[in-house]
Amino acid sequence: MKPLISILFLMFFSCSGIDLIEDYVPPTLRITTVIEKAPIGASFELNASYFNNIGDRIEEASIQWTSSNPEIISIAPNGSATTKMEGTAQLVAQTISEEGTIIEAKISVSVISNVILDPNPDPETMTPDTEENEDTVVTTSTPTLDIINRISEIFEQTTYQIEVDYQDGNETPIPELNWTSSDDSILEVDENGVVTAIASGVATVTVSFMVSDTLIFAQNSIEVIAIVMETITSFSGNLETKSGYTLEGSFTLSKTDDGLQLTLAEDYKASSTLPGLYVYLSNNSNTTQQAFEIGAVSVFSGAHSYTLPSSIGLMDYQYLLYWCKPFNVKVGEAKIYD
Amino acid sequence: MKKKVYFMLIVLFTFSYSQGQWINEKGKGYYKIGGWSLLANEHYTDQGKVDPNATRGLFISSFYGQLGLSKKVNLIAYIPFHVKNYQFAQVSKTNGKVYEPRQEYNGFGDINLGVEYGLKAKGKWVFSTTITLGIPSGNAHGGTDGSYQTGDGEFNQLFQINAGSGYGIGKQNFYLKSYVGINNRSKGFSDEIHSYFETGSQLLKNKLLLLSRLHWIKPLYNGTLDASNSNGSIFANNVESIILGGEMALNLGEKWGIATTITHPLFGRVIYKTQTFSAGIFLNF
Repeated sequence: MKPLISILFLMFFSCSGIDLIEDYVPPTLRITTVIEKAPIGASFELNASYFNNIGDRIEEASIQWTSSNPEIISIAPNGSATTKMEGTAQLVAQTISEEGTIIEAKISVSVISNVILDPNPDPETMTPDTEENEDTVVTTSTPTLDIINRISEIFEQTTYQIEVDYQDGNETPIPELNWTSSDDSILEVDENGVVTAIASGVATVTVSFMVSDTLIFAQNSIEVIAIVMETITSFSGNLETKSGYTLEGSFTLSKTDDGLQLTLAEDYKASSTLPGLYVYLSNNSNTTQQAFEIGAVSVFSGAHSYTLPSSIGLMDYQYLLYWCKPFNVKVGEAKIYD
Repeated sequence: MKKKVYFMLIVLFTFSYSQGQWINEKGKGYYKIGGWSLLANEHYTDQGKVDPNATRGLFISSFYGQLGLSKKVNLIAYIPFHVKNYQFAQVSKTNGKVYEPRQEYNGFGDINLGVEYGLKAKGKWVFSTTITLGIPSGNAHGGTDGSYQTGDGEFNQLFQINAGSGYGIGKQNFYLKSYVGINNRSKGFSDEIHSYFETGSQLLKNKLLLLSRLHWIKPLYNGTLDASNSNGSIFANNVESIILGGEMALNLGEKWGIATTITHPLFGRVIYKTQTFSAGIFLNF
């Protein structure tokens, strides 16, 4: 009887144990602000998230920013950047992992001019204000005033120095000029001819002075363009089975007014034989432990969608996972972005 | 989990059944109490491929009895009076963090009740038929997520035609038995065809019985149940398996002995890919 009792004892107590989950992923720093170009004088904030070696997002990670060329783009350690001059600079985010290694991520940003020069600079020069100065007669002996760096467009929230050329034939000093804007809510101009673009729209800058009851002036009609940073609003990809179960089809993860939406296309197909098939967003394709659980799969073929909470950002997760929850079986995945 | 339970029932039942080679005489019976264990970290998918899974186990303590009611009728009962269904703790290999602690559910399993009727003897062959009722006495939704089942939740009826014979190789006598059956499952589960083949021989002056068996279950795929119509939860439907097994039964006294078994799946669908082991004490009187 002893051998039998021993066997039964071993069988009964062999019930304890652990499964070690291969959940290591390289720690990564992910820049979540997507920007490729910015005009001179623009300011913007860069953001990055740190994910540790199991894909956990570490909110309290200390991330420092630097610029490869501060003369082109200056950036504060917290990610506040300002463009200075035309050119390209790399903006580098750095943090230190739990293992003490430096983790960094870079983006390259090109700085472009904040204005577009007027290709046809001539019309308003030296033209009297006929409504207010009906009897003004402009003759060749009258002093002339001209804007010599006329622009047609300027980016919002940037400045530009307008320069003038004054000629009266006697080389007398330039008189005191009067600078005005037709709409200060769009474009402001100071007493030195520095214009500041406030908001989108069209405004005219007028520079003028009076000579013997004659108004001499020059004008520049300028359109203020809003700065639109290039942003990504959706990612698309394909599901791929990583198991012996069927999983295929294409998906799109896109921003909506209310948050995010995950859409599976008509070609989507998943095995309906699995118990407890769930779909997740994760930063670790080897486990769902750090993942956001979207929910149980109830549609196994054809187009359908999931509405995700507004608290989730488009770049918060890198993988779409399909997982048999009760038995911890990875069924398939899709990479949302690289 | 139902697939495990189902697997268990098949193996245990056939194991037990093999002990009574032919119909018991009136008042005579065969009884066994024992334990059966399965531990699996792999399974066959619905396409017959092998995938990993969280390590899950079953340990079943059961009673099996076969009693002769008359010269031609035997009563058969399998009672899994304790089923332990468990899963290993899930732990990060990277940092040791416990993702999920060990889980376990204990309960009563599905009872099988059957009647075997002796049909005919012709030459070396004997024929019988058996009907076995699968009583859903276990819990089909055990544990925190309902996957620690101790039963499949459905009532099924297995109809068998059994045939047995003896043969010899040299001076050694062997027996042969087999059956074909159809298992009528309810609640949307697919019905199944069962095929079974067993051969063995007595050794050591009939003190030791060694046998091997092959059991094939083939679903008819006529069930309506799948994840799309069961809130994403489906267990043990369309299970297919070909299982090779061996058994050793040693008589330690005139009326009792011990028996151990081992099984190994050769092929499967929606079933664990692992060996099973069992041990028990039997009485034969």
